[in-house]
Amino acid sequence: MVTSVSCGAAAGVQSTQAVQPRTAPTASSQSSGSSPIQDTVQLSAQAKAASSGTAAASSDTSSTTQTGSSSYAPPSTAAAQSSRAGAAS
Amino acid sequence: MISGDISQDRAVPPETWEFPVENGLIVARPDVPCLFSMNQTASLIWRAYCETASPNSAADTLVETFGISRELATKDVDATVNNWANAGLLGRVESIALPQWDGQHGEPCDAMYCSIEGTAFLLLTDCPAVSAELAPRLAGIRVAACKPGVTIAVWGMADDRFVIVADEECIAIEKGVRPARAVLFQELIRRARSGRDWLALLHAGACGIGGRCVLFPASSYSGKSTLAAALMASGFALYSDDFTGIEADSLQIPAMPFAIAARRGSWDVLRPWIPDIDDSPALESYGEQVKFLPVPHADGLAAGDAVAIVFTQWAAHVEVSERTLSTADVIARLSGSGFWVRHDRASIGAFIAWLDRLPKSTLEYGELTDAIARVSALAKS
Repeated sequence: MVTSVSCGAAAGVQSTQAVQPRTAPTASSQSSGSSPIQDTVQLSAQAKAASSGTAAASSDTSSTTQTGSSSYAPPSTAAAQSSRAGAAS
Repeated sequence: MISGDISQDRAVPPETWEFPVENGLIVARPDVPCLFSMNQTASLIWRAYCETASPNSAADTLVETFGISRELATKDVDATVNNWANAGLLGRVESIALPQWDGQHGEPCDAMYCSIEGTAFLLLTDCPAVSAELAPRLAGIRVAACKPGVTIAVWGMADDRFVIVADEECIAIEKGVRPARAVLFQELIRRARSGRDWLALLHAGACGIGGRCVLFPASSYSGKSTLAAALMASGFALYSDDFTGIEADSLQIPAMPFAIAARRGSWDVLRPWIPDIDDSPALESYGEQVKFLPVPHADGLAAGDAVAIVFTQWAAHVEVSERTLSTADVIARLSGSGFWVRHDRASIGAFIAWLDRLPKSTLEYGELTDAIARVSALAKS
């Protein structure tokens, strides 16, 4: 689990301590009550989706429109990626 | 057709969180920072698939529920399960190596002091591009050098990455100046008041009257800042023109007292509301000319209560139109505009409940006056 770290880099002071950014993707860190930090973990599936331009896009999973029942709507799942700074303008 | 054997990349994760909403279901898993918004049919497939781990069984459910053909049910289940696997809802998660900061940074090229809600901040950076990004937005809250309550630094790294360090705590590493600025500003507001924490952050403008706040999420270049500026000039209090935070405890919207960035394309549109816009200097920002409009008294503005959420979209020569949205629709749309929600079961549940309570709609408009009238009506209703 990567969590809150002390960088050892006071403002204006050089430091050589290697650190990793705090992230929030693991189950244990998510329930820790720590301050919200950008989710920097990327997932292989999401990276794959992003490379194909489909990341976080709403996607109808079926191209089927003809159904045997008027009440049947094709299944649809939108994967909404939660990222703190990703869309900054 | 999916075989009866479920490979690891299509396995249901050991823990998932489910949140029923009208006509659908929101699903999350602890190890993936995503919300999966399903319509009713996908929800049925999900429940059957979780119970039996069998696509065939899920297809049976569709046949029994809707009376559709077996062929159609199998095809739709196949597509749905593939979609879930590709999107990261199913299967094992493999983390990609995170960028790391070695603690090194250059000499600060700028030191900016500002005050928000009585907390003094010192902002340091070793990168002129960061300084140029921050300085005009902080104009209304800059103060003279003083003993800071919080020091936040934005240090440049390789590959256009920036590390944000707050009081020696490494907050995040962001790719690009703008995302770094966004995280920095969110952190400024969070730390301005002790104990404040975010439930969620939306890439959204927010304006209100009498503490009643209308949020308008939208992606970049959709007219969000222009609408915020026009509303502000029409007497609305500005809470944000970019990222809107929702406080975890109160669910209120604190003001973000940063100047509005009005791109050149909006100046003519805004002139009727802001006649002296031409007096503001134009600055070059990423190849665009931008004027920064100060937010009067923003730092003295008390947090507001959200009363509506409207996905605004400006388009030339269109008649104003609206459409009501469900909570599931909103989750799907937020993925397009940008959002973050604290990723634990309780927080996601609180966020969805918060969304459920709000009137939710789209608003497409070609005339700013129409959008102002609609936002005004929502804020006052």
